[in-house]
Amino acid sequence: MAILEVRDLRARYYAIGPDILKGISFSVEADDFLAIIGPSGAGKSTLIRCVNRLVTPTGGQILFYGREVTRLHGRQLRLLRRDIGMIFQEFNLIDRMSVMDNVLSGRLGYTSSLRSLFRAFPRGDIQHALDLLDRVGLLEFVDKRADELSGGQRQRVGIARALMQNPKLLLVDEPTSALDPKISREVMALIKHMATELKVPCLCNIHDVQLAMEFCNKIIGLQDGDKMFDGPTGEMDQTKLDEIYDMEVL
Amino acid sequence: MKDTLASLAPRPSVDDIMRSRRQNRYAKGAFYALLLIMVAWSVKITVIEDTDWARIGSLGKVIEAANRFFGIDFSLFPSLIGPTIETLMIACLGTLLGVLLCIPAAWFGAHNITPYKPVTYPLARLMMSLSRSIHEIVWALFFVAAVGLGALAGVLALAVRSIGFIAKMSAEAIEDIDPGPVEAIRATGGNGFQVVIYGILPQVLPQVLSVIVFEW
Ligand SMILES: Nc1ncnc2c1ncn2[C@@H]1O[C@H](COP(=O)(O)OP(=O)(O)OP(=O)(O)O)[C@@H](O)[C@H]1O
Ligand SMILES: [Mg+2]
Repeated sequence: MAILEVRDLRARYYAIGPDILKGISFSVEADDFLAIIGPSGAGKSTLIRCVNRLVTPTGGQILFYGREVTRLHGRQLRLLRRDIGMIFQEFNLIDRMSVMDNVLSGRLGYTSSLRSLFRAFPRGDIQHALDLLDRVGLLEFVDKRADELSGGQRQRVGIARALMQNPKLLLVDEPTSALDPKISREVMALIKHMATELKVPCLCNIHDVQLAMEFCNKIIGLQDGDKMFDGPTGEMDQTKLDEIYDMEVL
Repeated sequence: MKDTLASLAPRPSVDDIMRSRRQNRYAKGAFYALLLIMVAWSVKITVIEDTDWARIGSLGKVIEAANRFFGIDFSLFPSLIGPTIETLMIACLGTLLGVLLCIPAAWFGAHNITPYKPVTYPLARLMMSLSRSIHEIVWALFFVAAVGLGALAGVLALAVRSIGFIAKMSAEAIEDIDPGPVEAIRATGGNGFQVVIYGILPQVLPQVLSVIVFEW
């Protein structure tokens, strides 16, 4: 059974505005590291935001572990979200909090309001956060404020925060666009390594086709809200890439 | 190279982290408890002892009785220092009450988080401009008429007056936040309250505090 199955997904931001997604279908299997590529404005971010419902789709279905999630709200929606980790292009850390508190914030879906007010996370969470910080190589930065770190280090905090949720799926939105090429490759390798080790499937928007070919086993090509390609990385070639990025050339 | 350096640094232990976080919480708790005691004390010697409670009605009698129960005699206050401190306390209480009233006002009045935009947003904005466009003295007169001459009227007038300023500045600070962290906390499955205290508050706190101190 597919972890995630998307059927004929449609989305737009304004009632009378244009369709941003025009009926997208695909599925994510348990061991997939799936790249979504396409020109700027194609709808890549919109697509992954529909999955954890930061954007509400206007049509179609999203089945997460066989369960339809496009109409969830309130507590049910929060329970869905805590099963899906997200890594962002701009890291989206809480600048004025410590690295530790940022990583712990990945547990908020499991933490009561009162406990979270006093940042009184249970011992198990602290242990887990420390292990993850070790794995992403940030052990000596536990008490540092998030805004004291470099870009690459901030993204590592973002990765640890997402993994703190014990996610069943990782959504990754352009994790390397704010980083230089060397750090980009390191960050992609880290995400891939952790995802493989923890057996979490990934859905990853990525600008850099090179990185997509190198790290992902499947690729979806989007262009202006339509799916232009869907297949294993090996089937992607220059002609198909030219077709997907066609709009950008014009 | 980096790895050897990192492994030389002592690995922080879970116990150490738990302990320092607990101490942090206790320190914060103690600070807020102290604040609360000071507020209660100020309320007692300014508002409670200085108000014509009979005028307000039966609730007033309850408070008056509670006051007699405490029975501390402040007549020993040196006659000059007393009123000065009292004035200071009125200012503090007024601002504090204002800050409390500002929380819903800023929440409703920031267009990016207001609960139901067509109603709550204009409502909050109306309250803010009302509070600013009416002069302090007029507010004071209004409250003197309502609750009688005394400290309570002063506190209420100051509080209402500060909504205009503090809430407006806070709402604008909230409108200017980076939506990224807010989205990140929502994406972890955090509830509305957690989004506010993790996603919004840390971003606006420095600005809001400086506005409050300025308004004092
Ligand atoms: N919050 C929003 N409100 C209105 N329109 C939006 C919003 N977010 C995106 N759009 C529009 O939707 C379209 C697709 O945007 P989206 O961010 O999904 O593209 P993308 O493929 O992720 O692009 P990029 O590579 O630049 O990140 C764009 O035309 C954009 O202007
Ligand atoms: Mg995008």
